[in-house]
Amino acid sequence: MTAIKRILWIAYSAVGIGCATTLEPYIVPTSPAGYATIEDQPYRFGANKYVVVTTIERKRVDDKSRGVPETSSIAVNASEDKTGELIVVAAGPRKLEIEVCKFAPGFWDFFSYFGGWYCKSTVLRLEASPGSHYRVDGTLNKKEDYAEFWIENTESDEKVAGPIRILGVK
Amino acid sequence: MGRPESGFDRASEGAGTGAAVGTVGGAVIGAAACGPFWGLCAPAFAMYGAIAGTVAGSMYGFTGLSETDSSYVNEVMSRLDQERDFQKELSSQLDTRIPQEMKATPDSADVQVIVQLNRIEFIQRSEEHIQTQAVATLTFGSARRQASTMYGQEFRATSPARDIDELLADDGIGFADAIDDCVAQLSSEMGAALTQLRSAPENPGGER
Repeated sequence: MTAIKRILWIAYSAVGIGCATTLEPYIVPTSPAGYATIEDQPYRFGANKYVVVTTIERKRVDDKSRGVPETSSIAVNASEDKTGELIVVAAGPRKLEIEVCKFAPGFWDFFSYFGGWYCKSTVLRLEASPGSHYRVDGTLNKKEDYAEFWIENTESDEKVAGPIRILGVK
Repeated sequence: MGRPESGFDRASEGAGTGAAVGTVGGAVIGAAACGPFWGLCAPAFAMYGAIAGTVAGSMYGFTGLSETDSSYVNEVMSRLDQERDFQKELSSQLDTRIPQEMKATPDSADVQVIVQLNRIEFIQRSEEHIQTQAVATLTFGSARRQASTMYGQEFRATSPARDIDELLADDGIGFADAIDDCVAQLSSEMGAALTQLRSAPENPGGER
């Protein structure tokens, strides 16, 4: 029975990945007239929460979509270890799909293949100002069945988009 | 033509009382606007903006869209909901399509009519193409009869399927255009139906 479930889960994942790959990849703009940088919180080993930008303007964000091109003149106001993970966007109105995931296992999660990870995503609209640096963040409350998303300007710590609360994470 | 579904019971009740006391019909429904002809009442959707950042599920629906596409469309519709009132727009467009001689104040109307935009659905027709469909209902009945049997007729309008990136461009103006198309179709068909009904105002819905 367990093996069948595992096969089904792999099949579902394959279908999901297959669907996701139909989106074109997001390409880092090399010489935008104005640009902004976005920092998210990708999964780190041992972390119980991560918040990632999954698509920008309906373009899939992957490893190649991240980092500041060496040839560009973009000055980054972020620590060096995060430079490779930054997402560069042209200034102006941008739509970002953000996913927040949290490890919150319940009793029954020990029997599921999700392993206690709960995720929710939404799209936020960011009015990206030239030269600004933004951080996407979110929270997921399994008990009260909601997730919240927001984007803040790292210089002012001001929320520039959201918080948006989405109900239903189970 | 049969009785309206149970979902319209409250609206029907509103229309019945509206015949005698005008906008009281609207008060029964909630935030409703009663028009000047045939006691036209347009119930507003109280669920608009009920959940921050999402569109009330009972008004908008998605068929076949991926989670990502649904999220992008949802974002557009959340904003459109703040800026536009498609229910009112349908009502006012219908108003322009009714001949002047057919219009009456709610208390002098022969027929009470409620126009209701029920649902706007976004349907994925192919990998990248989305069609917009709007469903609305006209509920009507004789205002001169004590036994206020109400009748309902459903109208359905669709826009041509368009590329989702085109629809999402410029802050989703394509979706607004698609819904405008549907609302225009609906008002046109509803106007034609009401004009036909005029030939037998004492016998709405073919009541015997």
